[in-house]
Amino acid sequence: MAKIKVFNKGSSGDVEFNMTPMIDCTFLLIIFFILSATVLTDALAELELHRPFESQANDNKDLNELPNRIIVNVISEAKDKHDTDSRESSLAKEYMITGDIIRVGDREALIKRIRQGAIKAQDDDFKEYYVEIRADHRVNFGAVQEVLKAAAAAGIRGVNTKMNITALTGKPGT
Amino acid sequence: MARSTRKIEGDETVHYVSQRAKRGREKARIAVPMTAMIDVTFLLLIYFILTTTFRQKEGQIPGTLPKAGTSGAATMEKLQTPIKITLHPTGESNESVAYEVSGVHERIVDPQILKSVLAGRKEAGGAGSPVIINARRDVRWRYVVEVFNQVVANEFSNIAFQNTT
Repeated sequence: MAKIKVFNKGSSGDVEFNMTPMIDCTFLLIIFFILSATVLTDALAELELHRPFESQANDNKDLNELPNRIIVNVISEAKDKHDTDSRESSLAKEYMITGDIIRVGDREALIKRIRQGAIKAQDDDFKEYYVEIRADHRVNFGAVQEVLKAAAAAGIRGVNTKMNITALTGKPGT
Repeated sequence: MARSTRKIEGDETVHYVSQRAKRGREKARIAVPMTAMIDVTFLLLIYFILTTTFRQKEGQIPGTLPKAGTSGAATMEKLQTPIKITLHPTGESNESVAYEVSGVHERIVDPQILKSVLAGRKEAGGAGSPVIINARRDVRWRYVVEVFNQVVANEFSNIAFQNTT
């Protein structure tokens, strides 16, 4: 609570707020927000993910830091996050891989982009290469299946291509 | 007034000292102008409060890719009978689903029941039994993830997606 100091009775009645604790709190709040804010990177598109019943998804921090992985975002045509059941929301708008937009149906471009990552992993002497499927939960399986097929076709000799599915972790409501 | 006067030693005369002269004589104080800093600080705070959206925690479920040019089922051992889970979309815009597990007559809607059915199959055939997920192209991805999650939860190691056209 702000402390109010009232000076001598004889003075003209100066009232002063003790600002120090308020500034302390303000700075603490700012530090909290700065530290907790995670800026969306171009690798992670803003999309709605599914949280399965008793989710087996693990936040593998080691994997996140590895350079030998590629994240394929499958973005929905849905207008907003509340649009969960419309036919429009089931259509895939585009694929996004580290900022590169790939048109739905352009399988050759998808294979080429995934293969680029595999070649880079090989150049960096990695034996394994991870393709992470990060798809909006509303899109049709057909759109994701194209990514699976492309990832299988993009494999190169000497690098073991592995697949991960991104989902939300924890219990519903967390 | 006592506060506005001064006495000089050896001199009985009381000299008046003005407030301005008194202030000038006071020790010079260093003060940091706090107002501007507090203004900026509050602006920053408001910005962060308004723009922050807390992201939900994401994780990865490890899977296997189908072999190029073949169906996922081709990688399975042919000797073991696979557990085939077929996903049937339901609803006007395929907003829901029914799961059909090979050997189980009734279709399943609840993922919890699917998990327990798979647990029974694991007990019967072991965790090495091949599992084939057969989803139509118009099934929503969340239901495929749901099935995949339940199969992984039951520690099946040989999981494949059937190639659908």
